[in-house]
Amino acid sequence: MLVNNDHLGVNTFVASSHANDQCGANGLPLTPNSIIIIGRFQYLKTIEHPNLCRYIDIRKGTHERLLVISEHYERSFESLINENQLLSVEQMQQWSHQILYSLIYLQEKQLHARNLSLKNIRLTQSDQIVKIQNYGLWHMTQYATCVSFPVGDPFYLAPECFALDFTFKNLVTAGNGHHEIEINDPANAKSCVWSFGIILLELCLGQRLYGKQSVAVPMSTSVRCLKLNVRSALDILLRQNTLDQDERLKRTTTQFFLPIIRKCLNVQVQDRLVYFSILEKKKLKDILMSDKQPTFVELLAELGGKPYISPIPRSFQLTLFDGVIPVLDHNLDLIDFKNLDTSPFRCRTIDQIYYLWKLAGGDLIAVLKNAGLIKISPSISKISKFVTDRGDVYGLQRDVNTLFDDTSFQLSLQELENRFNEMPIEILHPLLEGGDSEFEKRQEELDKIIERQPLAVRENDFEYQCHRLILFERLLASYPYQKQRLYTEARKDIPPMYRAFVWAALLEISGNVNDVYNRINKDNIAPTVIRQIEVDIPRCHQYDERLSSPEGHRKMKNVLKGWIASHPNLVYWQGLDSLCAPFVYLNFNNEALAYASLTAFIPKYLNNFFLKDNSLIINEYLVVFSHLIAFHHPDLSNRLETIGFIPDLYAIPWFLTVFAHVFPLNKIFHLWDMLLLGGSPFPLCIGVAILSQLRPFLLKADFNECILLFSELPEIDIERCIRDSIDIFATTPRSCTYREHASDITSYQINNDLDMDPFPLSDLKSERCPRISANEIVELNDLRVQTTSLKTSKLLLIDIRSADEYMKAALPSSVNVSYDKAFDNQIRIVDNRLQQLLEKHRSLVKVVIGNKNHKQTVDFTNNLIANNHSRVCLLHKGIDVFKTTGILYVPTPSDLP
Amino acid sequence: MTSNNRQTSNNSNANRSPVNGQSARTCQFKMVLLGESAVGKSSLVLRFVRGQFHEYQESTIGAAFLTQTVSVDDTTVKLELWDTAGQERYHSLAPMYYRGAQAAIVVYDITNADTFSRAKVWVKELQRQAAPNIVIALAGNKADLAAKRQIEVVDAQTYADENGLIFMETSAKTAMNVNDIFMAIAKKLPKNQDSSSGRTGNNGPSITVDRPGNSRAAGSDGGCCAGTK
Repeated sequence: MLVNNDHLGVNTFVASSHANDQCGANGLPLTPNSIIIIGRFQYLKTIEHPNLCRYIDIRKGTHERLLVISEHYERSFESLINENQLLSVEQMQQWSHQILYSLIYLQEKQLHARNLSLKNIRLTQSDQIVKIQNYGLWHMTQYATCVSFPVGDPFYLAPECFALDFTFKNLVTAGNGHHEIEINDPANAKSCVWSFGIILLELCLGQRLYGKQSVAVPMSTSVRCLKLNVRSALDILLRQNTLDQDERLKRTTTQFFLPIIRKCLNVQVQDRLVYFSILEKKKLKDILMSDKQPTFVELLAELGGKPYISPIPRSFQLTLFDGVIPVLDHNLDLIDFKNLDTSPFRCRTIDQIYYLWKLAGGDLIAVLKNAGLIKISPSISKISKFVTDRGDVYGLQRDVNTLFDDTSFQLSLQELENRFNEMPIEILHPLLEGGDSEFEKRQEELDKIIERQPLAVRENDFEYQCHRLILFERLLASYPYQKQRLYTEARKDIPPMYRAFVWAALLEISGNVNDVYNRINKDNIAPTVIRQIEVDIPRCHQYDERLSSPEGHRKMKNVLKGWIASHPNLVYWQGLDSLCAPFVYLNFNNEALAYASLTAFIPKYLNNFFLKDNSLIINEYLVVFSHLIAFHHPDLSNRLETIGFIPDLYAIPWFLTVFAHVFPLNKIFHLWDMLLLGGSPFPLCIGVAILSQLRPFLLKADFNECILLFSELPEIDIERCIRDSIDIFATTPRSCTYREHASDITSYQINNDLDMDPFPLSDLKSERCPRISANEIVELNDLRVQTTSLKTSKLLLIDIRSADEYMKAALPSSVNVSYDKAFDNQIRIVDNRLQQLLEKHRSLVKVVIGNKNHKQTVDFTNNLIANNHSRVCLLHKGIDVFKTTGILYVPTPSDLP
Repeated sequence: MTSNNRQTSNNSNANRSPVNGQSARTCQFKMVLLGESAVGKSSLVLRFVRGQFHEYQESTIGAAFLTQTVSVDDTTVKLELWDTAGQERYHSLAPMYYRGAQAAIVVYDITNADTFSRAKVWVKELQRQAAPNIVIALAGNKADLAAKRQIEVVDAQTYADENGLIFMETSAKTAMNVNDIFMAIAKKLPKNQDSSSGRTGNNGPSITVDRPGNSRAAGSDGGCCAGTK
């Protein structure tokens, strides 16, 4: 099998740093340039073209250093020159087509490469396919305003670039506000035409145009060309480099390309390539559907030759939701394509490969240090001569590390590939459809081994992640066909790489989200709201690199505006920003999906929380929360009520933002992974789980200590919190979390006396425990089965009516403890039978069943809670609802104590 | 930037008696911070209590709570600080926080004239709705950004004098006047037993908190002070 190692590379540069203590217009410190770059880089990840090296990731090192990971190829046009290869017209035409098609693509993506050179045009091993690299540097460095070096190789830069860079940089520096405001790209696509011309010329000549001359030469030549006011610079360039009489100019290849080169090297931008056959242009335009700026289309027409067709469709497109096509760039070369069966590694997407490379212990800094791209100088050489009292330093020698070096260094994937080849088949080929039972058994065993490991271990386990990545890729590709399986697998854990899409699937997003999002008119929002968003976003999860970048701020703002504009009945409450942040982070290059996710999330968990007057909804929510605390931790509930530490004081930010304002992103992700699989009451369970984790402290703390604890929540073990939440969710009867304002209210089938239906908030507040619906009692205790008895019960039904009433009609398996005899005046339990029952059935849910005297029922439950009995609830609307059901029976005297 | 100023806060100005020493009395007061979003309410509290400053201080949802103890003459003064959300929408919650407060700091941002207008509205509301003897201070925060100033010191001072407010320009970032404004309030607070609502200090259970439900039932959504501009 062919080992082809040209795939991942890293290069590094240093962003320019700001002077100390500078503030932007909003009074906040200036965003570091590295952060601006990280934000801008994200867009480059969406660039996918067979002739462009994929950008994969950007990392921040120390001191504004950035590491850029991209697809990488060893060979370049420079190698051809070094090998003195004689090139045919056809070969060069083919490459030129590829280059021009990729430039057209970039133009459609509104990017300017600005950085074409022999070195940046890479070749795959067969030399057949051109791969341009470093084309994103201009964009990510905000047109070179974030770095102290110029972007573009001076030997290939068009004359106008030298002039422009200088004035542009001065303009931006003078403007002083280049942080939040988006600057327009000053580059012109035609500058690339010049670079392309130089490259063609060099290929024809088989040498570098300027040889080994200094960089000052191309600049002075440019100035000369501009001064001389010539049409094409070709002759001047040739003469200057004593090539005008060169024999190589007479070769057929050169003769063929020379007229094109001449036109490319037109000094005046506006004149560069204005001549083309109109027919040709139209035809090409139709093919390319590129009607924006036909710069390269003209050139293509000029070049002639066989139109280039990409040999294999390289990318494997996955249409998850209408209008959302994630980049799943399968890194298939033709040879790989044929070897798919034998090379499990090569058929992974390049993003997966990078992800796994990191899991396998890949260390970018180490790679760069070994390659000498990061040099460590002794600290003594970094001592400045003079420091102002504001911390600005002077007299430092320029650190060589800050100089730009565009060498990209290859990441060795050999070891990774070896690990792949050793991997058992059940890891590499998760089956979606049942088949081989032996295979399935092996897969189950595999799952069992890892299942019990902590999430952190699972997320960093190379083989497990490899398995999960492939599995989820397949599940997503088949979505919605294998939806149930996706849910089942998501319950175990969600691979971070596919979280955005899995979440979207769990939120049941459908329809063309791009279209919906683009149709929203986002410009019609009240200025006060805009101001509020603008002051909130720069404070929202700003420890994160992406979200703190100007690009991140813009996206947050857009998505929030989109949501506000499309929900006229709801309003922006502070906190919505926190809620929006995880979605924007995950869908950084896909505002539409971030918007769609947020829009689906809110009605599911926060129905009507964002009404202008949400007090009813929040009040109800908080009371239900208090009930749940009492249900699971009566002792804690008693303590907190005594000291007056009520949920209203601490839990509003919890629930309004579903903990997004409380936890950092990495914890929110894991929490929401589980949340999204649960229903609308799940946040309540998380709230109880947090309290249970802090229970030992809360039980001894006084009011001030409690509230101080919550003003800065201590480290919460999120995995334990998730486990506890699930337990709480599972041990709470469904109707106990009933909320009138919950969105899934319809699932409670109202209009039926046996189910939950709205009742006044004041009643809800006067009670300390939740209510349970008659239907749920029937269901949980199998009341429709004749043999029902206390022994088989899941619920302990305590009928508190008088013995007389009980003897007339009662629920099977219920016990009668009349209210009057149960407690003494200090609310101690005096009824021995009740005491014994409660002791014996500690873990059962205790349902207190009363009659029309509701106050009595409430008192009874409150007394049970006061005695620290857990899982107490009361029957909604009392025993009377059963009258017409035929479930009631007439107890015999033996049923009484 | 995050030096701990707790020490200085305890020893500043005229108060020399140790907090945990033989102070004659301990008084507890409830203080509320009000003002437009992003003027620096949370930052002032955080600077005062923890001596910290975060450039990207998160927005406050609902309210946050901190305490700090200072000595004024012979008295240990324990301040319960209620830091509120600035967004107008949260206004309906505000009464629950300022009810029973003996002191309030109304904060505005000296680089933003709108926040000063908003501060005036808060002062008016407090004068009408809060306890009659409430001590109100006006803080012109972000004084470190004096170059971008929109509100002149004189204007704010004049307004404060007219309304009997303590006034200082502060900077949570540089800590300028932060302890001073809190101390100025602490000094002005009456130290006799009655005024501190009979609270005895350390015994938590004596603290009563207004149930928000009741407060909301009392006044409809911001009805008492609807005009914002």
